[in-house]
Formats: sequence, structure tokens, C-alpha cells
Amino acid sequence: MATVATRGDSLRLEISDVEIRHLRLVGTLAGVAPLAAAGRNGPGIGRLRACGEGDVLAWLAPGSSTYGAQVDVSAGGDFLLEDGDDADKWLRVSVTAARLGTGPGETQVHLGDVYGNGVSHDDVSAAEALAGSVEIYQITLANDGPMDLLDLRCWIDAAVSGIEVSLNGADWFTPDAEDHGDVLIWARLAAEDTTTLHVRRTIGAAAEADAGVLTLLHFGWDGF
Amino acid sequence: MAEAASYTVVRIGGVTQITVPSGTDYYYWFLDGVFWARTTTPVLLVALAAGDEAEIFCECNDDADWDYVANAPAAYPARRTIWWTAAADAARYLAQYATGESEPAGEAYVTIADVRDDGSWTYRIVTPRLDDLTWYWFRVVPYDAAGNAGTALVAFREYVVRTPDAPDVTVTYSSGTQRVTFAEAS
Repeated sequence: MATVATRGDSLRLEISDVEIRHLRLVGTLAGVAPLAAAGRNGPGIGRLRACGEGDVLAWLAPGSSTYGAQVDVSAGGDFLLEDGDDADKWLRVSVTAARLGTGPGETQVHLGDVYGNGVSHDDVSAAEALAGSVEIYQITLANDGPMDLLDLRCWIDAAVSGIEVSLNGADWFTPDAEDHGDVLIWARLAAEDTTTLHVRRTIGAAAEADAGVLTLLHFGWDGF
Repeated sequence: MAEAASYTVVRIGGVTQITVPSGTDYYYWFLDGVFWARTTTPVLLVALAAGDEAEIFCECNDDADWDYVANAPAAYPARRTIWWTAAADAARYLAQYATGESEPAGEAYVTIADVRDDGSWTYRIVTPRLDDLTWYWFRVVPYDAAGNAGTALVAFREYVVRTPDAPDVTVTYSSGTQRVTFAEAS
């Protein structure tokens, strides 16, 4: 069984000690309160399934064809549900056992992009676009797991523009792939330890207003 | 995506009926850019208050599992859905919003819905139309039967950008033809 903070959700992104929400989420089964969904799920419709007597859960990410491993949640508490095609498409839930259903069930879970979650992430008004805008945010990368993260890497999604990342807030880079020469690397992020990622977004003057600006960052590590 | 070829709108009092050409199995309706309903008939009824308005988009196809989240049309949505799970011992919930770039004080919040706890596990409301270029904070406050407030859950905050750039045009008047010509500025 996937225990929370031992798998893909070991790395938490926080601002002011509050975990950043990667996706907006609507929909769940009775007794199951979603806590967070991996950004890797992407926007779309996932499915949350209860099996057996309603106390075994499985997650199907948007666009996936395979439910993840079934997780016994009968004891209640926090659990990590992983997609069957891609374990990094996870859903972290808190289960209140007394409110679970008593039989099989399934529901749609709507995942949507989040705007204004703190990662230089608000949309761009016409006035901002005309004048131009530069915003810098510091994000805390926290290893909430019991094991060290090795060769932690960060890069920027190739589909976005105007985003730079930095280890120190002075030297800025735009790595757009995991094998890019400028990818940010932390050799080790120890268990329960944190480090800082700096993110800068630049909107050039005389740009166009945009009600759907996203800051998409990727993270990877080699193992525990 | 196959948007409906045309829309016919009839408004009677507070009820607005939108009809699109038939011919497909499913009709996915978006109100102000937010998914609203999937129907098997080409007709949608929505309630709009007097003076209110909304932008309608209808996707017509034969796919019962069409992903209306991932494939939603580009839009400048004017409403948001506030969704939350039940709180222990709650008798009712006040869904509220406040405006401001910094987190507002509690008294700054305005109630937009008073929802009774009916034993359900989840609750949701759709906000009224929101103002452009404004930071909104949304929260839900549970109350027990004695009226004691529980810990407020700040659902999310968002800077609402609804208005795309105004067209940049030049306007010239010809006294000869007595016509005004609009042209896209270079």
C-alpha cells in the first residue's frame, strides 16, 4: 500500500507553510475528503472507485486506462491513491471510515487548473500586460517523507514562457526539459528538510491580457 | 470540438431557454465558460436574475464520456464553483467571499449562500457573477446547531480577469463619403 509522503507526494511545495494546490478538485465519494492531487494528473475528469464493501479505493487519472492499486482504507486516516498507468498521478485523501459507503461505487472527480495559488500565478490583466510585469516568488520545497530525495531536479514546462527559476534568487535559468543543461539540481534533500526555489515571471510590456496564465514546473528525483 | 451552429434564445421572466440545432446524441453546455450540464436534448433552461446575462457555449457530439473539463472552451468565466466536504457536527455552512489582494479580516466576508447540513458528504454552490480585475477570497464557515462557528476553510483565492484586451483600432472619418472606417492598428 502506498503510504502518504513515501512516494510521489514526498515532495511538497509550500508558501508560508501552506501546501500549494496544484489542481482544483470537485467530486468525491462519501467519507473521502481529497487533500491534494498531483499536478501531473492534469486537468480533466478522473474517477474514484470504491470496491468490495466500500472501504477499498482506487484512482483513475484523467485520460488513463488503468485503475491504480486498490488501497484498503477501512481504518480511516490519510492515504495515497495512485493511477495504474502512471504512479506519479496520485490523489491524496483523508478517509473518515464511519462515513464510507457500504458497497461498490464510483464517481467522477473534476480536476481543473488553479489560478492564483501563489506561484507567480495570477492571470494578466490588460493594464498589467500593457505596462509589463515582473513577479518573484520563493517556494519552499519540503521533503515530508522519511527518506532523503537524491538528485532532486526542477525544470519548466516547455509549453509555458516567461518563467525562470533559480537556486539563489540571483542566477536565473530557463531549463525546459529534464535533460537541459541548466536544470536546477539539489544533490540531496534530506528527510524532513526544506530548501528554497525562486521563481520569476516576466510579462513583457505591450503583451496581451490573458485570463489563463499557468506556471508549470516539473520535479524529478532519482530515488530514495 | 463541434460548437453548435446557432443558438436560439427565448427569455421568459427569470427563465432563459436556449435551443441549438439537433442531430447529435449529447449536448455539453457551458455557462460563462464553466461546465453547466450535459443533456440529450438540444435545449437548456437556466435561471438568470433580471438584468443578468451569461455567455453560452454548447458542444454537440456523440461521446457520452467527452471530457468537458480538459476540453472546455477558452473563456473568461464569470462564476466559480465552491465545493467542500462536510464538517463534523455542522448544522449549516455559510459560503462567503471577500475582496482584496491581501487576506481580508473575517468581518470583510460577505455571505453568498447559507447551506443546511442535510447529512450529505459534500456540498457545492455556484457563485454569482464576479467583478473583473478583482481579487476574490472564498471561504466556508461551518456552524453547529447552537450557532457556534467552526474553523473557516479558505477554499481558494483568485484574481478574476474576465475582460480580454480591447481591440486596438484606428478610426478615420471621410467627409467625402461621410463614413467612419475602423481599422486594426498596426
